[in-house]
Amino acid sequence: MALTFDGVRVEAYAGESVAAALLAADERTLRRTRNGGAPRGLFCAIGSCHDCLVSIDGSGPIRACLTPVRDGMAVTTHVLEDTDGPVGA
Amino acid sequence: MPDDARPFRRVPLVVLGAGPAGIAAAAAAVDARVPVVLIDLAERVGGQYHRREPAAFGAADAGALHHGWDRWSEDVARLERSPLYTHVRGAGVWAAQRLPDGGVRLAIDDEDLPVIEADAIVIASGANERIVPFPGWDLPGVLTVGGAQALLKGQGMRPGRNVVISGAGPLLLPVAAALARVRTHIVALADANDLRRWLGASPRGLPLSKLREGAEHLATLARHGVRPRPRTAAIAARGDGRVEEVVLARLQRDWTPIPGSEWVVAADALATSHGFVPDVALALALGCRLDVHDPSAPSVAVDAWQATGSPGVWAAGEVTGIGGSEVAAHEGRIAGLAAARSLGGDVEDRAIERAVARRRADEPFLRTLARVLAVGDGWTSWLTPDTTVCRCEEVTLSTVDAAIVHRGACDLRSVKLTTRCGMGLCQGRICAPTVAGLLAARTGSAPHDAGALDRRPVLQPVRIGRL
Repeated sequence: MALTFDGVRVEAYAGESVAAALLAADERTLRRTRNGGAPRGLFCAIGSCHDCLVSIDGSGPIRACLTPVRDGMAVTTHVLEDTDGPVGA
Repeated sequence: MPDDARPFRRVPLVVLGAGPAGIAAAAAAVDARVPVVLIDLAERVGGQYHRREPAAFGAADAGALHHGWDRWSEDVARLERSPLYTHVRGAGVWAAQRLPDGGVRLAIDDEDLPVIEADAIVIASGANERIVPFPGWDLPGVLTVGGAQALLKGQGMRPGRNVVISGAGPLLLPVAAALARVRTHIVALADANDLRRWLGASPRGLPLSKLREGAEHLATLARHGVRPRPRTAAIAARGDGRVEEVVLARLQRDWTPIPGSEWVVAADALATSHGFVPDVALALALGCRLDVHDPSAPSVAVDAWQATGSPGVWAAGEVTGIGGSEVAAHEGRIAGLAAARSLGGDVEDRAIERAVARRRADEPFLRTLARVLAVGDGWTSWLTPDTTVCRCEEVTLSTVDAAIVHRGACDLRSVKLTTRCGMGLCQGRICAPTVAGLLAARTGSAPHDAGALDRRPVLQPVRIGRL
């Protein structure tokens, strides 16, 4: 199966997390911070730190480390805005 | 009926957390003929210690990466055969409250079971890693040692090609050894403490099983040409948008870098953490008292039967103090038996006393652990004014210092309110120990409100639609 990350095709295995699939493709920056626009990536990998936020199929922020891949998923770098709703996944 | 998750309201016993303590507690309750609902954030039982790959990977030998697997998997098998056991999987508890009748009510992020009430609860919520910050710790490619372990155990992934492992605590060796075994190039393995401190322990303070485990890890590392560097730490990570190099330094005994000892290595990943911090948020929400002798790592205070003092609430495992998986399992059994007894289960006091005696025998090891794994005060000198303290809200050391030194913030709550430390998405899970440590360092005394950043009316993010 495969997903796309910011439009680029990334191969993935059934059962793995979005974070693992992106790391395997050497994609390290998953989001940009609200104030400084600094790059952030996978940090705690268990859902505590909320640094691995991505958008999936246009969604609000979702933790890549807790989200299993789905074939055809469109994942994009997340930029946290003040207008964003609560975080899911 | 392990997969059964019918909506129901009131149950006798909830066990929160499916790690070593939670599984032992649930198994003890079922042995005493008390129905138990086990709730955990993950899809598969095991917690962080017995984390496994998704079932879809079809791994044949899951036990290969784990210590203590046999006894634990027996408990799991016994639970899964029991008609008294229900496992609510992939479900976080996002709010908890006491009920007037002495029970507890939990709000769960689960479509089929949004609310559950219980007469009693065993809290086995475990611990989070403590990460001492340093310049560049927020660069992509820096991750926690536990994160590296979760990637390896849970996803079959390495964190990078050329990896530096640095920090302190019981995770360093096993994670380094596991990474070496799957042919990760370990550029450096830096331990801020000195492994040789273990050897100062009395025989009772260092059980043979632990000694053997440590020796196995060291032998694995040696086979792959990796030698741990004592009193050494990664004190900075640098790179253009991601980790490209890591600054290592030799440390004094209190973790202050020795001037002029720094050197730079090339790496694309840095795994770092410095011990554990009990995850006390749920316990606080249910009125449990904290033991705050280490203000950076408050734990839930319990008596010999793991009772918290809050009626109907027991706690076991790392949430009551860091001791590792075996101690956690011992405590979980006590808590499960004691809770089952209070619910009229088939429990003899002698059985509890036996479990308590076994746990008491862990005390010398716990004292060794506390001595060997202590975080040195000198870490505060790793930070520069523009080092990030709170990752979520992008608060730097200079902002925190301005609050403490110039605006007179003298406790966690006032630092939070003046700087936004702990107000972000992780709700202080990552920065709380740092802020408590900085307060102690700058004011000369521990903050009186240790644990304040762990008080969360909403325990984890939840979609508005669930409310």
